Amino acid sequence: MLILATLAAVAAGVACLAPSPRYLPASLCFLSAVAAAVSLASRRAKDDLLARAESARQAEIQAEALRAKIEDSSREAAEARSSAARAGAALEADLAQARARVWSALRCLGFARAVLAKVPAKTEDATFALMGRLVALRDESSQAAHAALESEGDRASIEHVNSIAAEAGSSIKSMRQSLAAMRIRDKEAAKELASLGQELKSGMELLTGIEEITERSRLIAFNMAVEAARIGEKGLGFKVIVNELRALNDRTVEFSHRVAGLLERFKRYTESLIKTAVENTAQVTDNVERGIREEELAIESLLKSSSSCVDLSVSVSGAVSSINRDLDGILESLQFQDITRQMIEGAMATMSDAELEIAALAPKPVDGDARLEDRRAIEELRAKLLARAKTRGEKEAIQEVKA
Amino acid sequence: MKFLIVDDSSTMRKIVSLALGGAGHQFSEAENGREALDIAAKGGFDCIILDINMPEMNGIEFLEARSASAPIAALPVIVLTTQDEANLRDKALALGAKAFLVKPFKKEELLATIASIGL
Repeated sequence: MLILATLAAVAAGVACLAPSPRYLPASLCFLSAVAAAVSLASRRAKDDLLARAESARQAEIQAEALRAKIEDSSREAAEARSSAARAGAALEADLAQARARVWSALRCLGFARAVLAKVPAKTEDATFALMGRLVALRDESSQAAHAALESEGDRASIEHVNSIAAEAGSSIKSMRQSLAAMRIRDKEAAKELASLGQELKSGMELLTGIEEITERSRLIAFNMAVEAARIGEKGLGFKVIVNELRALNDRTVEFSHRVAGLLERFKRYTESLIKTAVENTAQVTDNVERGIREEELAIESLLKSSSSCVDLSVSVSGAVSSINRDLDGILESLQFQDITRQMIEGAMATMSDAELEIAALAPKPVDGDARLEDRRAIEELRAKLLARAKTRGEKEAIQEVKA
Repeated sequence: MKFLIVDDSSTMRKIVSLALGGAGHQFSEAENGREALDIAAKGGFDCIILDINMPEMNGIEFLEARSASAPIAALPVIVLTTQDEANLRDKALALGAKAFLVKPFKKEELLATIASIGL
């Protein structure tokens, strides 16, 4: 508006300056309008200035507030810087501690990898040794199986043995029958010898009768001698007869004694013969019986052996099959061991990668003190791990780790 | 029959050779696919028992490489691996393997597989 009024006044003023009286009223009017416009403009300018002054005052107030705030902020910033510096120092300490821990972990990892590295080789060695023994065992069991099969092939021989044993059994039966017959015959012979002894006894009794007759004849001869002496010379003929009778008696007695002695010896001989025959027969039959029994036991044992041989070959064959099955099972299990070995090798490769990654997080100590500290830590860890190690291989692996 | 056992594990080669030897078969051994190619090129083999995860040249690379040699490509291959993965099985069979067995294996299983591929 002010600009439009000013433009109108300028336009009117230009017109008034024209050299013509005819335009004077218009010029007055123009000036009046200009004055009004100027008045309006000045009033407005005043208002504007007052407003601006108010704004300036408000701005001053705001600036004051801002200054206060800036001061507060500066103070806070200083405190924050101080706090950040403290935090930075703490972080640095933490970082140093973390690096130390990383290196401690790396050292542990190094020892663990060294021990683990021993496992695949040792596992493979053990597996090979075990397989070697298993193969030897399988070869031996195969030989046993072969022998068992051959034993199976000898079944015909065993049957032949059984047949021979049956024939031997039959022979033994015949022998027993012959032995029984021999016993009967021996008994009969002994009975006959006993009868002969009885006859001899009867003969000796007859001799006793002869001795009685002789005694009576001697008595008659004595009486005849007495009678011959009593009748004197007439009795001389009797005396000759008496002498002859006495001589006959003496010879009869002597003959009788000799026959009795002969019969007695014959009787003893017969008795001895009976006794010997009985004893010998008993001994012979006992011996034969014992022999037969032993032969029977031998045959029985042979039959048992042949039967056991068949059973044994069957058992061996079964056992060998079982062993071979077990061996196959063990070989199958060994595959798990080999798979485990390969897994360990894979894990070790991963562990090496992890070691590199971790090592990248913390630079290796380079200055003298740090390296010395690192070595000292390694030796401390080595001593600790050696004290805890359970196997020789583990200890060897720990010892082999270089500082 | 004569087999070529390809495996980087000497223990596993020994176990496979025991299983094959026990059944009256002959065998040779190779530590990886590269060595297997060289040995198989000399001829005289009826079948290859092949591991997958091996250094230098693995089993899959061997299956791919053998197609360059007609005599080796004609040999039946039985894959024997610890990696029981369907995509690996499919890939091996697609590359011409006749069978795919997973370790640990049973002797009877291996011999039955050999019989099943007409050997």
